[in-house]
Amino acid sequence: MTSMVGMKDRVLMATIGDEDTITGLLLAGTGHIDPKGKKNFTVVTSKTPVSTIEAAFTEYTERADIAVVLINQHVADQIRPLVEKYQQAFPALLEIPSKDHPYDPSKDSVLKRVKKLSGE
Amino acid sequence: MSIAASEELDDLLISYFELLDRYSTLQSILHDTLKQAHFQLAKAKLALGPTRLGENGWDLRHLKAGWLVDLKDSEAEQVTAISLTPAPPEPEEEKCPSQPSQSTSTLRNRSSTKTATSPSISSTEKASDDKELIHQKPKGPKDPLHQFSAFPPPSLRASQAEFKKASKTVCEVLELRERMRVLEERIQVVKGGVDVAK
Repeated sequence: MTSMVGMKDRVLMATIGDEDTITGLLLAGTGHIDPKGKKNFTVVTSKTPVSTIEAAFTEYTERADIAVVLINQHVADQIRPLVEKYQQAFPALLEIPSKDHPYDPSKDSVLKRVKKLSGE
Repeated sequence: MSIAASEELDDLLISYFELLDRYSTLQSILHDTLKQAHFQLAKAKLALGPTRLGENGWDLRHLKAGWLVDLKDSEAEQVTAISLTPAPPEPEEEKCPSQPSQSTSTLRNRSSTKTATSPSISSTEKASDDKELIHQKPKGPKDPLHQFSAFPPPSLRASQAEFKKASKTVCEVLELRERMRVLEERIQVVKGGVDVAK
């Protein structure tokens, strides 16, 4: 069972995604900038280097104040090895579709585990 | 013994596939909600212009989350409950320290000037008292809608509502995924026992 020590500090929902996804989640009220200037969102465009995405992913998954990390699936595809390697319970990681890229269920981690459980 | 274990395994698998069905349904709801949210956002962009609703239109001064994730451990089910809750309002302490002296002086003034006060002066004092009350009230986070427009179009409000709904559905999906993971571990243990018995 996950220890509750430090879990109370995990309150933010971080997002790594395209401009529209970030705009939407800012509208929803999940955007946050702490007193040190650290944001909980990163915009990814076609020009964003993979190293920037990896750095954002690493930062959000290591921060103690983040409970959930949302990432557009097409962005996660660019750092797929890092995403596959990630096994922590918290921050919880979820891939979401974007406006221009529909969700591909074959990359869903839960469905992959179901196949493994049923012996496929 | 092996029959009991097989039955237990069957029960666990039934529960697991029920959860899987719920997970698929929730994912479908999430994706449809996001689709609607993006559609409404696109309509809002037509109304307000693309730059207003783009990265250049974000107001990042004093950005505070209005909705926070709440994690609660459930000892009975060995699963962490995940939900989204409104952020607590922050009290305006900066203005408060200056208030007491003002308020007491106003009260003193009010009581001392009560006997000989014209109506215009008493209304001014009442206005300043009201202002003090407003300053002392804790303020909640600002609605992020108004950073984009003073009079947001209905499509922007609709987009905000859909993205909020999507954020809440994300928490439900994650909690369900956590329940499935716990059930998977139990299935593996029982399955191992059944295989050994065979």
